[in-house]
Amino acid sequence: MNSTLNRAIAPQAKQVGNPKMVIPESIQLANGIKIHFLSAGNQEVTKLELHFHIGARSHSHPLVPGMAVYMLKEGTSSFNATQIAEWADNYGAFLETESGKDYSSVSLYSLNRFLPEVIPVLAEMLNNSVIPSGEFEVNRSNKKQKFLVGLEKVGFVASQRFQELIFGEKGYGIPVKTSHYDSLNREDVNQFYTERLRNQPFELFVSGFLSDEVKSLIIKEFSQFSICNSELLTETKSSTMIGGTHFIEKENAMQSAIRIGRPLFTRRHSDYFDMKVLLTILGGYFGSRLMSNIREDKGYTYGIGAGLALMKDAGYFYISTEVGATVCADSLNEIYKEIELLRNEPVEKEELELVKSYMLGSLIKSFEGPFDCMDRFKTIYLDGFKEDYYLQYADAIRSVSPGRIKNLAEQWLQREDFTELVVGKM
Amino acid sequence: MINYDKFTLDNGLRVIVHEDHSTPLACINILYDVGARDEESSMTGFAHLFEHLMFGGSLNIPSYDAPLQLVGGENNAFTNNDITNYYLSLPADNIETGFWLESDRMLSLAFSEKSLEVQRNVVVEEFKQRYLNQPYGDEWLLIRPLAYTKHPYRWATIGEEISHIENARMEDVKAFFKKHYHPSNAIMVVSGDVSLTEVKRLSEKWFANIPSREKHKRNLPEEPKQNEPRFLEVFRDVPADSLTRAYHMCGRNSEHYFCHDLLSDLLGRGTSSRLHTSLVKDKTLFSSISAYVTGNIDPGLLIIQGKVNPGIEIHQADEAISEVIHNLLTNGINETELEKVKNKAESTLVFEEMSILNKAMGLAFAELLGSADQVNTETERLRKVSSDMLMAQARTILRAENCSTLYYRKNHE
Repeated sequence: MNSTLNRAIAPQAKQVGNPKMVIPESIQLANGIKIHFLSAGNQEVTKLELHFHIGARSHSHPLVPGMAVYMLKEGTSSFNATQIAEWADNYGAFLETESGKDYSSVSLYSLNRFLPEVIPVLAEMLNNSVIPSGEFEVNRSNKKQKFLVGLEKVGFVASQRFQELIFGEKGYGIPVKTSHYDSLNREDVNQFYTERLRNQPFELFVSGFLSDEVKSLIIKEFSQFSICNSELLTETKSSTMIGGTHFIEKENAMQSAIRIGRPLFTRRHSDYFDMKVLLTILGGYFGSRLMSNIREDKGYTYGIGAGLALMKDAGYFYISTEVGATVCADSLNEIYKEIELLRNEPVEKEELELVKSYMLGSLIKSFEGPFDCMDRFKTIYLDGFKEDYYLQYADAIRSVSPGRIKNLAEQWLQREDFTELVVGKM
Repeated sequence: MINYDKFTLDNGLRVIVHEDHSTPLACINILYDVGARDEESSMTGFAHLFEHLMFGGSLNIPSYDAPLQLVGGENNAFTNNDITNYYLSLPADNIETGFWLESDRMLSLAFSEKSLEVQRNVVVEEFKQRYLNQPYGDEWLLIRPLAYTKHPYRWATIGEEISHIENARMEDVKAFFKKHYHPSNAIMVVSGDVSLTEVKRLSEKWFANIPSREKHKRNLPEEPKQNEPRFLEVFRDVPADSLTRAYHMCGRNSEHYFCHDLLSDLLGRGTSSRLHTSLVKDKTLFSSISAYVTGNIDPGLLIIQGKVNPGIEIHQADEAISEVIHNLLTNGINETELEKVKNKAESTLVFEEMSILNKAMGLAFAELLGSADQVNTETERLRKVSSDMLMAQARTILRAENCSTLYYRKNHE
């Protein structure tokens, strides 16, 4: 058999199918807390994610919300920061806080057998946080140090500044400056905690290998939360984009960070699915046009990507890379050349087929295990979509044509609409 | 618990199969028993550069990535000081495409000059992006040659210097392939929605006729015992001083490995650890500090690394680390603290077993260490560590004469 093996011919393959989704079961407790249970996998573990509709945009000082969430771990009326950390660590659990522009979350990962002991730490943190001034100062100073390290990186500086250029200096674009770390004060953070976190409604996303016992335990624990159903304050400050072409010089930079992009749209736009395909062709996978040209043909960079950055109420298209300082100008030319090509010539059928298969395969892969499944659900749930969303996405990928891709490129990828930023050396 | 089956082809290729039918996907992970430690001292960074070349086309298939993407798959690879590991995942229906691609590049590469030229540049950019154009990026490039004088762990995977990569020639590439890339130097793990029978059939079909070559016998210089403290101080354009201590410890297969691992955890894993509690929280000398082990196959390093707060003298910060260690050596640990680091280590292992790719990687590495079964006995082995065992090891390792210290300091303005 082996003597006749023809290694030049690919084995027969099947069309890539749809993802295997697991739909969570959602309930609402008497106190108003919504819980989503998603049971999958075979490891005896559970992740609880408390999800809050607050983020950097929820306060005039962009660091206040994130700090309030971070400080939940840093001390309550009965436990200090180390005791809270030990509470989780003693049982091998992981406690994480996260805060973005729109949302914040507190997550607990635990082995199921320790859930009864560790879950109460969440109530303690949320209900009895005291934001101790000592801990506050230590964290403020440490976060400032991290920020200062970030400012030494061309990529970090570029990402920061680029959002400001795209969205203007309020709302999503608000630039974080070193001075924000100096002006961050405990009273503001404490007030934010009191008004926007404690006793405020949240949603609970629970995923893992969930027995009925685990579910009842969680229902029991979270029924004890007292929630005042106050109306959520929604401040949506926005400002107009700055745009244009910008260069920030960084002495001695060996590489320059490049960001190119423009404001675009969110998942709700009718071009969203097809645009995802276009941006994947341009820079969304290892074989993309940009990777093939700038990395695999020219060797100018370790990596380059394009995509659509999504927030709750806005989205923008971006190209992002770090290239050798001496080849920065040529890299920019090549990037624009690739965009022009997509606007002028329809993508070859073979390339489009490849991208479609790749995207469908990635979609399936993004549903591996209970935590990933829940993340997929959470994303569309928060945007108000139904569970058939991903099947519609898969159908859209399968049916998009080369002509449609070219039309989208012509409409949305016009050079005069782009904002361009280089940080480093030109 | 990861169930698996294992068989070996006549040409020496070891194959491990882990069935998990809860997913529609499958993974192929191929570990080659070659890493940066196997490089010549004049050609460092070669194992990693070679990893890049493995995507530049093989004997019968001009592009590795495209055919995989066409069937819904994706792939990547990494190189470290010990191993080079390639992995792909795809819808299980199309698993044969993975066998086809992986077997062809194990058979032979295309050895394209263009690919070598481009990947040399890509790796040079990677060198800059990750090590030179980052604050503190070259810390490891400095620590390694300080801690190791003979053993090839003295250079980093990316290489000792850029010129070694720039000078790589095609004849070196070919010789490297011949020496390290063949069935008996590889371990393949197939995991996911697959069956043992099917994996056996496909392994025979695609891999069995790859010629066997003799496994290269590794003969690396042993690192001589360090007998006095080592110290290096450098100045860079960074916003804060950084301090690193590197203590020699045992290799991955030593009976003491889990002692050393847990020792580093209790010193500096997470915010309830001794170093963090004392030096970040109580004394506010550091803005961050942590401890960890490198986990190398040959004797590795236990690392303590922290960023010193503004206004704090680095010697004072260093002295405070010594106090934390002195306190541990004098007063020992209690059972609660030991139980804490064991629980954390155990749950880390469980969470790692949540993806078929992680399971495949774990099996491959365990097999390289001696037996795939080691993935299933790790918890048991770390549970066996007693406070007496741990303290005996702490006294052996945490000595000034066994330590290399790096002061990575902020330039004066």
